[in-house]
Amino acid sequence: MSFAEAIAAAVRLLSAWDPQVVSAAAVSLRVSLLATLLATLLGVPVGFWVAARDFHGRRVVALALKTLTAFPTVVVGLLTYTLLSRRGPFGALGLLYTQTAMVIGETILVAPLMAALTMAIVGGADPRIEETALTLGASRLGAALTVLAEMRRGIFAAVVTGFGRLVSELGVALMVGGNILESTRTMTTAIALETSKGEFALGFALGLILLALALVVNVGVAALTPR
Amino acid sequence: MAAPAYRLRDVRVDFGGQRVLDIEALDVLPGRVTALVGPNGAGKTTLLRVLALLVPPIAGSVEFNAQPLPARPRDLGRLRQQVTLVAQAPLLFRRSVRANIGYGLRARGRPADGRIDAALAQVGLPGFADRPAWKLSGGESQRVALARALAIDPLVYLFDEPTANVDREHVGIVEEVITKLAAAGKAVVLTTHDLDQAYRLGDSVLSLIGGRITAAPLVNVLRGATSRIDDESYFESDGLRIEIADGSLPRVIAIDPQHIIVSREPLQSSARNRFAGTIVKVEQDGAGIVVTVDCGRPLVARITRHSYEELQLNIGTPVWMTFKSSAVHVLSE
Repeated sequence: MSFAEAIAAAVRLLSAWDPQVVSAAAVSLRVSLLATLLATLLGVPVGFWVAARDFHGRRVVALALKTLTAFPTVVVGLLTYTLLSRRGPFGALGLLYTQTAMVIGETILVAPLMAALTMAIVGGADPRIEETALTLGASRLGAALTVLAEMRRGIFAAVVTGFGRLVSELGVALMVGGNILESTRTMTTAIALETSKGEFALGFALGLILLALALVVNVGVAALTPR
Repeated sequence: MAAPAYRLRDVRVDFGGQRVLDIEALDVLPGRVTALVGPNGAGKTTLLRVLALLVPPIAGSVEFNAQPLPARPRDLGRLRQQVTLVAQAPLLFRRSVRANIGYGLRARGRPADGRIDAALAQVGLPGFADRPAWKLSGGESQRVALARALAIDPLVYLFDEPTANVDREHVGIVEEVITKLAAAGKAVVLTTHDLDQAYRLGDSVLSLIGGRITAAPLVNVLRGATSRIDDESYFESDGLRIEIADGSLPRVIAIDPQHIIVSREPLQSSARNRFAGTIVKVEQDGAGIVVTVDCGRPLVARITRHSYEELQLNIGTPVWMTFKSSAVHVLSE
């Protein structure tokens, strides 16, 4: 099959709402969005805490977070696998090869990134924001939320960056998801599988969706953040 | 007399190993404006930040409304709601003017009602509520920050250089607001570089130098250099050569206007500093008279009404200004 033929076949699959394509896209989106949400809820407070509060060992934590940002996805996959596999500490839960397992692994993957990005954003924030909030009667928590709200542009960009990393991620999805059709098969695991089978059309179709998704997300970011 | 809003005793603040504030005793009274004057880096802003309960002193005691400060951050936060600080370069949140002014009310769970519009009217910015705060000019921002403080109506108002960035025509509005706050029983503390403003607004004026409250009056401040000739120290500035007492080598001095003698003829006295000039300004100040004499540079002397009348002084009158070296305060070496 030539390149042009593969692209043409991909477009046919997309326009016909091919069930395999739709299912893989839906699984990808659901897992990535949920993991992004969890990683945001975990990473943003930690990042804020490291950037804005003085405590013993703060620099070590900051360094650890930055290092974890470069965590290879297969290593996170391996880690999550050993935690969830039958003989692992959480094996009894029977989560391996489920979407839940993928969400857990991907949250572990991207939470340090969210924390590190938040750390950089809050570290670069005008220190007068928190102080102004305090002098206007906000609690410490209220002042912290005000800093995040003032830096919403950066935080939002961090969330989108996290989502982008997850939706295009292969290692964790493959290792703890297992690439089960219509259950844990995502766009990236499907592309990997179909390519190995020599079925380029489905791979290209999913690749086009991923590209379109990247475009939509970036247009969305631009539209939502004035100035 | 009402109990002080603040009572500070032996309060010290260090930054990076440097002592930046060392207040032996300070009472801030409700219903009064306390003006802080002093050169840059004198600790004025740090003192405001201590009073705003943002900076904990490393030593000493701070009482707020006759109560020692609580240790728990949550309790301190509750206390902080009774104080507000308007910074010299205030930050407005990247929201509407209305959201900015409503911030303190929301933090207290109070309804906005008409407070936002009322506060804007007070600072001369009616109809500004729905503007985006980031599109305001510097002067407008400063007045919105003032309105934001007025809306929450705390017991204590702290102003850091409240008119520094306000355009000239609106300085009066800001000063009127400050005066009214004190009249309404609020404790007001402000810092200023403008001595006229300090004395115009302040019920008490405190000079802060090197983190300490000093008795040195901050008028007749001269910058220059000191040289030693025959074991005497001479400070030279703007063509004036002033003999100073101790062996220090100051770069900035202040001459106490209470200790300058004004006379028609050169005085025969042990005072070593004597300059001829002409009167350029005469002002009444409480029970006394403040005369400004151009001696090559203006020097201010404070004299009694009696001697003013006896000497028949007027603008343009040639006079002699005489003072001892002990009238010279060293502000900075």
